[in-house]
Formats: sequence, C-alpha cells, structure tokens
Amino acid sequence: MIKIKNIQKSFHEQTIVKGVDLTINKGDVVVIIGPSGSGKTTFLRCLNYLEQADCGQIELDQDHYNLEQMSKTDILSLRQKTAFVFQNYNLFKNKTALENITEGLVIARKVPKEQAKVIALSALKKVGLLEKADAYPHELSGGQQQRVGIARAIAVDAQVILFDEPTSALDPELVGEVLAIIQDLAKEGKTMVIVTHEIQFAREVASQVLFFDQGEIVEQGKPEEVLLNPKHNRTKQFLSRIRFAS
Amino acid sequence: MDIQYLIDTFWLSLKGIPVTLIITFSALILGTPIALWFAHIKIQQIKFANKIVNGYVTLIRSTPMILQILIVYSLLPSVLNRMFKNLSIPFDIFKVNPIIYAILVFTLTAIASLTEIYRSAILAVQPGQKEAALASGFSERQANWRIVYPQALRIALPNLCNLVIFLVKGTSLVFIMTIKDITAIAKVAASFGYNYIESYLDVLLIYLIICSVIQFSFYIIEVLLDHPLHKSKKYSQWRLAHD
Repeated sequence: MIKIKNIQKSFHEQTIVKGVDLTINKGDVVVIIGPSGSGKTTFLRCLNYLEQADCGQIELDQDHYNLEQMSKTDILSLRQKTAFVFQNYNLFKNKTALENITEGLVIARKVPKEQAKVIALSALKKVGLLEKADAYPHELSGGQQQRVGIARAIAVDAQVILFDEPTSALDPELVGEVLAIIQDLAKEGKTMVIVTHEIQFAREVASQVLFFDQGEIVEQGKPEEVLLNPKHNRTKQFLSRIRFAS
Repeated sequence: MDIQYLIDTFWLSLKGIPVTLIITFSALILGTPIALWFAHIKIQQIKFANKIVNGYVTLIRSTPMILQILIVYSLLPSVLNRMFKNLSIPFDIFKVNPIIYAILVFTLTAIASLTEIYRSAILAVQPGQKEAALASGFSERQANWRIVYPQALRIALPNLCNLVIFLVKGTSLVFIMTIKDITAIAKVAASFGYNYIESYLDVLLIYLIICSVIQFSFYIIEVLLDHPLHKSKKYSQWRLAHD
C-alpha cells in the first residue's frame, strides 16, 4: 500500500500542487485526468523525486519518506522502488533496446549481467519487441520506443509504475499498441498511476479516477462515477470539452 | 626554386612532428579533467566558483597565444628561480626543457576552449536522458558518466576537431621558446642559403597533411559512433550461446 500525504509544490511563488493526499492499494490502477497546467504531471514527478516537492510524505510499505528532507540514499531508494514511463519515451539514445532495460538492473540495482539479460528479454517479449532487442532507439517507431520504455519500467519490478501521458507524443494509429500493453499490466495486477487524456482507456483500465484542476483533486472515485456521472461543474465542463462519447 | 633543397628540407622538417603532437595531445589530455570540472561548475552555476571560471575563460580567450607564450616563457622561469633561491631549493629552473612551458601554455588554452565545448555539448543532451537515468535508479554520477557524457562527446566532436587543428597550428609559435618544431627546423635550414620560399612551402605541406589526417580521423570516429559495428549481433550471439 502506498500512502501519499500533503504533497505541495510551487514554482516561482506560483503553487502548482496544493497539498494532495492519495492512498493507493496494491494492484490499483489510478488514472489522473485534468486540463493542461492542472499540476497532474508535476504531482506524478514529485512521487519519484524528479521534481523536488516543497513538502509531503510518501509511505511505501514499511518505508517512510519525508519529501522535505531527502538524503541522497533516500532519493535512490525511493527511485528504485518506483518506475517511470515518460511522455517522450526518453530511451537512452546511446544504448540498444536491450541495454536500455539492463542498465537500470545492472547499474542501479546490482543485478548480475546474465540474470539482467534474462529479465530484460522477458520484458521485451511481454511488449512484443523481442526481435528489436539490438535496435537503437532511432531505429524504432514512436510506439515501439514507448513499448521499450514500458519494458524498462516493468523489468525493475517496482512497487508502482508511474506513467506520464504515455501516448501523448504518439501518432494516433500507434496509441492502441501502447494502451493494450498497459491494459495487460493492469490485468496482471501491477500497481500503476497513469496521467492521460485517453478517457475511454481510463474507463476501461482504472480502478480509481482522479480529476485534477488547479493543483488539487476536484473529484475522485470509480471510473463510472467520475467519468459518466461527474458531480462537480469543473469535471463536467472538462469532460464535455474533450467530447467524451460513451 | 631549389627542388633538391625542397625535398631534403621536407624530410628534415618531418622530425618536428612529434614535438607538435606531444604539445597538442598533452594539452588535450591534461586539460580534459579540469575542463570537465569547470564545465560542471558553469552548468550548476556554483556561486563564486562560477565567477572564477568565467574570469579564467575570458582572460585566456581574449589574449593572443603568442603573448601567453612570451609571458610564460620570460616571466615564469625568473619568478620560480627567485622563489627556489629564497626557499634554498637546489633546482636549476633554467635547465628545464622548454617544451614543459609550451605544454603549460597550450594546456591553459585548451582548458578554456574545452570548458566551453563540454559545457555546450552537455547542455545539448536532452534533459529527458538524465531524468530517465535518475528515474531508473542511477546516482547523479552514474547518470552523467553512462548516459549524458557519452552523448555529449558525440555532440562535441566537430568542435573538438576544430580545437585540435587550432592547437596544432598554434604549435608553430613555439619556436620563440627555442623548441625545434616543424617551423623552427625549416626556418633554421633556410637561413643557411636564404631558401625561405622552399622552407615555407615545406611547412605549408606538412601542416596540410597533419590537419587533413586529423580531420579524416574525426570523420571516421563520427561514422563509427553513429553506426556502431558491434550492434545487431549482441543479442543474437547471446541467444546462440544459450540455446
């Protein structure tokens, strides 16, 4: 179980995230939706300390992190228990698909090389890219790069995988292959937090939907409740604007 | 035009090439760690240290190299000599090989240029690359050395090539420190029979050859980095070994 308490973040005296609390059970898929600039990505990045929160606490099973005072060891330990999938994939350009996955295992987690390779290949198999193991990122399509990005995240066996708009940079016809993989992961019971604009996907995959606006959670609940019968005006406005067709 | 002299002096002047290469590559090798450190200071904008580095880079870049050579070669030995005498250290500074001073001057220049080359190259690596490394659990140092610096090196190559050529050509100034480099050898040879035109043609030819070789080498390195020969085999070989 992951308990997130009172995460706050401001840039240049402008508050972007206003004290967000969230509890995530094992196997939960939390989907965060909301307009641009609502702070949902910043909130997600605070969870693995890519963004340094002004204050906040994270409880990950037995471990307790106070985001206000993080030592280097705390930061490393928090990041090793989480995995991140980026909007622009951010595959290491100087490494092959296979190496992109083994690096995190061998370098950060001290897994023996041969063992890391076995894990990495099975992760690549899961995302259907075993034959691309030796390809460099520039030899892959956007969708393939993002699938390697997801393989990199699942290989480290993190307690939670954080997805930052994983399909926003993709051509429309490539979105499906990436979403299908995330859906498979949800079925396997992986704990995930996903920031996305794909409402239909949110409805199918989420166990909990958060609607973010102006740095806070405006509405929270089961996907049917939040997406089909939103209570707050702001949620209704947002959903009507992105023309949610049920 | 004395063709025989032209050929003889060409072969004679070739003996200056090691000096040129020693000065250039010593400067690059000695300058790189310091320049990386300076680049780091500038990127992190570390208070105070940042200002010192900026001042240093400005000072070196805005003074002609020949002036730096003259100052180091005429001032430094006298100052050191006095210092050694005052401390009664029995060391004859005037017996030091002048190539040491040349390496010093060229290293000072290389540090200033390399600082800017590395800084711009590191900043040109997409920030997402480092973030991805950190998110994978890398320490700051591991992220830099395994992900950021290798990519920065590729970006820096064209500028590095420029610097190497600039330094090689700059070594033609060290004759004023009594070092026998390519230019010095050719000039001395010419002074016997006033064959200056021939000597200068020889020097021109030699620098042209050295610089062409350097440019070609950098081209090869770029091609190799962009199209690694070893790729496409790793996984397939590994699978063969384990089936």
